[in-house]
Amino acid sequence: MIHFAEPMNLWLLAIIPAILIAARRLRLIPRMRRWMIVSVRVVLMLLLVLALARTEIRWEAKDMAVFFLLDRSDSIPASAFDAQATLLQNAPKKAAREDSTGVIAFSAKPSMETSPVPRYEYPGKVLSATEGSQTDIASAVRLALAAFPGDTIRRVVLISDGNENSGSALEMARVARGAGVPIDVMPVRYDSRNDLKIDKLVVPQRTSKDAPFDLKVHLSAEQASRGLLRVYRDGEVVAEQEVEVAPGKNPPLVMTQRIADGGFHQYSAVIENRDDPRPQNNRAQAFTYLKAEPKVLLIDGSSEPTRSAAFLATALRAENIIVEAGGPSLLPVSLPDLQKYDTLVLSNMAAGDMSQAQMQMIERAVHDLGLGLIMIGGENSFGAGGYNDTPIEKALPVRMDIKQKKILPNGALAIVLHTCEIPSGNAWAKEISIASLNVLSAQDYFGIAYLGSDTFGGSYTDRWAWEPGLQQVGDKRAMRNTIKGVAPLDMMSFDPTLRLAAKALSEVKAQTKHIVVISDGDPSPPDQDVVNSIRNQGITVSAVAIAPHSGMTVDTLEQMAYWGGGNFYYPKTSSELPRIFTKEATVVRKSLIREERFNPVSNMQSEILTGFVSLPSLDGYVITTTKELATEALATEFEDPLLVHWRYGLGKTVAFTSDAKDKWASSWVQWPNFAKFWAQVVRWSLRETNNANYQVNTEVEGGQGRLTIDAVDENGNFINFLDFSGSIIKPNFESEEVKVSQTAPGRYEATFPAGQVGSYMASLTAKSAPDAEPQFVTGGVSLAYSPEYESSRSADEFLKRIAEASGGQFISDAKNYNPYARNLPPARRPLPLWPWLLLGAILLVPVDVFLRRVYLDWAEFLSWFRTKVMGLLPARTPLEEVGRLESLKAAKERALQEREEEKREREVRDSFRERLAQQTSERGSEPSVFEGQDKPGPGMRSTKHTVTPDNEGAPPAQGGMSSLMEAKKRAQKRKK
Amino acid sequence: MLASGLVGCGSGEDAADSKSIQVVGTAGRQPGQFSKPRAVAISKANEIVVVDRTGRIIVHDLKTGEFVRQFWLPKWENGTPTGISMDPTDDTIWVADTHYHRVLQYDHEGNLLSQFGEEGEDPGKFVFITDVCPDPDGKMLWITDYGRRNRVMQFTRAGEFVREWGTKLFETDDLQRPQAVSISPDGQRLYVVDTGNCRINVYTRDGELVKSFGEPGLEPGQLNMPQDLALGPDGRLYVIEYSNCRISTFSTEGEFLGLWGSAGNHPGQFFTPWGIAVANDGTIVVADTMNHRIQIMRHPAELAWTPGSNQGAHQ
Repeated sequence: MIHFAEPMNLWLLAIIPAILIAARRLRLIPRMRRWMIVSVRVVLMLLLVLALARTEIRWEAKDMAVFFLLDRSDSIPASAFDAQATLLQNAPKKAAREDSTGVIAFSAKPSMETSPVPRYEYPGKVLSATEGSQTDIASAVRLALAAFPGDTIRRVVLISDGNENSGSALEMARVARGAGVPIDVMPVRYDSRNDLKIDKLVVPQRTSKDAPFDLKVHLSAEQASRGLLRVYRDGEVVAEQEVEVAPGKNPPLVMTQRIADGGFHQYSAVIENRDDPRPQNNRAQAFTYLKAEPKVLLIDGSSEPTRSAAFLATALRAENIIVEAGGPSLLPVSLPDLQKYDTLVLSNMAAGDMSQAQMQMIERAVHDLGLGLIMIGGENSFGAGGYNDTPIEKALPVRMDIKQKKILPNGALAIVLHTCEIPSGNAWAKEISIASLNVLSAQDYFGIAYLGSDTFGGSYTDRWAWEPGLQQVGDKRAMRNTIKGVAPLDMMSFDPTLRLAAKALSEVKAQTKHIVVISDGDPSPPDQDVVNSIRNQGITVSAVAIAPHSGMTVDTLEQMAYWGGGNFYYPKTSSELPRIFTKEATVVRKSLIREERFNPVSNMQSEILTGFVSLPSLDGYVITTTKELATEALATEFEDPLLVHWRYGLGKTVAFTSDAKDKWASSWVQWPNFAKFWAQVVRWSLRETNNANYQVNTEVEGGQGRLTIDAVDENGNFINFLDFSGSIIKPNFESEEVKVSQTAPGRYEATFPAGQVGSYMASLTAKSAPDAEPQFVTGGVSLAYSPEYESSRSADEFLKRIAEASGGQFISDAKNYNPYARNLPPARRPLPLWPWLLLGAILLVPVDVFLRRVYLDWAEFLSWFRTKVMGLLPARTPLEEVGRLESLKAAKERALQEREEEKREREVRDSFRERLAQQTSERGSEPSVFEGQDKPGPGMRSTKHTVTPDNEGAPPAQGGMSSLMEAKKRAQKRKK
Repeated sequence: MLASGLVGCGSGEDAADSKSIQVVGTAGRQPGQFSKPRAVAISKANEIVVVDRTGRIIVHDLKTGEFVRQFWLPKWENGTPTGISMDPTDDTIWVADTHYHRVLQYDHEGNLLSQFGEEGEDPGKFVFITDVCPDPDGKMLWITDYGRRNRVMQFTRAGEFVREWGTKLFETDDLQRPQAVSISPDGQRLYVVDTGNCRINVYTRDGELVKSFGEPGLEPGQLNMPQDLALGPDGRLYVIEYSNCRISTFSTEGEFLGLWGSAGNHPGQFFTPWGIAVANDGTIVVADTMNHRIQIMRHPAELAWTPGSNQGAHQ
């Protein structure tokens, strides 16, 4: 069937009559040639127009493909999955032989369970692992549409509760309809009659010391219920009571609270009901802020953090600065907790002692919320602590890479990579390899050994990710790209790969050499002699167990690390892996430490050093590089940075590359100005608190956050036309800019997407005029549970709308439902013709030019063609045939004429002879003028030519010539 | 993995190879598809029995290659079996459930008949049980295990521990990751694949090492991570090499006879294969693991074997 995708362009066919009319101007051209020119032009134009109309042929296909989309989000209890299983077991049995069936499991993202196959059989369980915290129906439909076989009748069967909280299924349903794919919808139903939940917890964002304020708990229930409500402040119970909850949304339960201590305070509410099928939605969180004295959090990463931190903590307290000090475990994991402090001091703390998320949180807190950050040196800090390419490095005024030195100390790290048989295991393996690489400097050696294909693909051997196996890092981008292509196979034994790594390490010049083995423990344990030999070469071996198949192999790996003089790790979740590898990679970065006595040198004028003329000597530091735009207040005698500071976003950060304890700063801790120096450093870095006294309210509902600011001055007047700018820090510590609009006198509002569980912190600045002093506005809200748990029943109406929008049906009788029913129009597979039409038109253009510009004698050409090209005898055209007949006729006429003339001539000659003979007989024997000439006999032509107009020029007969010659000879003889 | 019968002889060209090979299956979880098939055996009923990474025991017809049925193991999230054998007496299926440290016995319909084993390195317990092979009379079971110690173990059919031998922890010279075991038709010789050391160890029933053959390498006659072994009907040993992606054949005395196959994804090529079985009529079946398929070679004599020391794999 012919189809035009752009039928409007067919109007251009009207040009063809114009061509025919215009052809009249070619009257002077021979008719045949004229018609050829016109025909070519018409065909050319026809081809062009059909190409522009995007002509295609559509074949009808009768095979059917059905995709089942299984909603596996958290909102659906596991018991409700049975309905999906039943449909998957029974429905495919109704498929015809030529039909195919595919299955997609989805929640936040879709996962292809089975691409369309004939004779589908439900394997008993859904094998795809999906992250269920969100429901994105649209992405599943999109995947199905993309994965359908092209030449089939197509149908999507959506089995879901319809509680969408990401994407737009309705929009995608319309797209599906456009593609001719109906979405039949089967609701998933579950029993949630006893569901009791806390919709939200509301406290004022700011409060005053000991001032009473309302804490409001919003509750709702499917039916009348009772529960025990507990309210916590900073983890401690502040209220507890039995509550009656009516069906539906209840009026807020109000409690009065007071706070005496300054800082951020987090409230949480939990309601308990034993019969509640969904305890996940029984909690809510909120936080409030009470203005307080600046507070400093000091984290020390030394092996004895309490003792090490005591030097600085005591000094600061002596200067009346409030300090909380401790080890890495004290570092907050949430932004509201970090907001309690105004400066964070990381003393000798390795990057590996905190998670990537914590680093990102700190960086955002500095940049967007004005937190102060001070990093103090030690053997675990700066480059030696693995801060290369981390968010913390971004915030600090120094770089971890060293560029001002020509000869640099370096290390060598080899990763032995065994395939990880956990979901996305190989992706994780690559990520942690990249995390290790990030820690290294350009001078360090790095390599990844694994079992993989050899260069020629003929066998699989222990090999390196790149050649030579250990390479100086240099430009990390190339190595990162190579790591992404690494495909480790299941290693049978550790021995060969360990040997390979050890051999390469023994051949490079590096101060520290280290191997990290990553494995699920499957390979055969190494021979002890192999590990001992590696250790004896000064190479250390660490081991990381990832999803081990047996507890026994965990012991094996631990033993290997023990012999190898390294560390053993057994992370419980894959998210811990990058942190472990960052820490392991720093083993080779200890070369950045310089332990040598030096005197600090003042480089630039700095407000931090006000009042200090001379400083005591120090015994060591970590080599770093001062960033451009940073202030290098102090340097070492070796021209390396010692004290550097700068402003980063709204916050200020300081780097002190030596330490603040009795290891490198033994002279300092006894120095009388030790406390004053550090107090000045800390005070310079403190968060600037110029908070506007506006009422801020932040709420989250249905995956959407709402920020409301009521701006009123001291006299109670609305403040209008404020210009707000700033961002929201999301639970994953990414910032998103928010647009704040004035919605009423003195009221400003902003919305933001809030689908992730966790805290959302708003950080805004408000200006009344472009040159006015900015005022800070902060607020925040916590989403305690996933939007998946907001609804307690399937959204049937929404599902019906999806079905309607796509042209599908709402399945109410699953038992008799046949997704393979042929009640859809046959599928048409388009075969586009326009490229060929266009090609034909292009090929005709030179033909058209040729016909118009070149005159060709077709008879000549055909004759030439037949004789020269085809090797045939010349062919006669009809004209030639006529000419030939005419010439034959003429020849015949000429012959007849000649015969008549000859006859007449003979008659004349005979008559002449008769007369001559008569005269001779009358005169006797008088010689004849024809003497000696043969007398023509009967039937012979006379040799004597009678010149007549008819035979003039005709060749004389041979006999005549010889006669003439003889006559001539006789005449000459007579003259003699 | 044990079968009896005769294998044909001779060698052929590559073109003949492709005609002699049937590739069965594509990647997937549906009937007729495989996901990393790791072990294969052939039943007396001429059925190919395969276990793959999706935790299925999949049965295909040996003659046609067609899918017949499938059933699921009780658990497979930790990992899947690497060894499967048919019982010579009743044709039941013995499974070395590697990552669950136990032996499973199934009938052909997937009914679990018996099981035994628990995790541990003590005698009678398993760390990573790799293969189980019944005696010709079916009374005893021979089992290989690694993870802590590398060992060969003997159990009664009922699962009672009899004896074991092998290495201590972190010793690998004598045995390193024994991955498969087969027994001679007379029941007197055990052929153990010493994967980590790239060789085949031959033991008596008492654990005495009779001989050991093969060495690490890529050349003909050398082995690169041999993974499984089948005793052919001609009494030859068919060894599948994980890292060399080929089949090497040896006499029971250790003489290299020939090799066939290469790395790749065309018929006759393998991608880290784990399992091999030889049928009574000489048909070879390979679990072509990372190509997610099995390959059936019905006329081994027509394949282009690279001959070994006695000028041909098949005489």
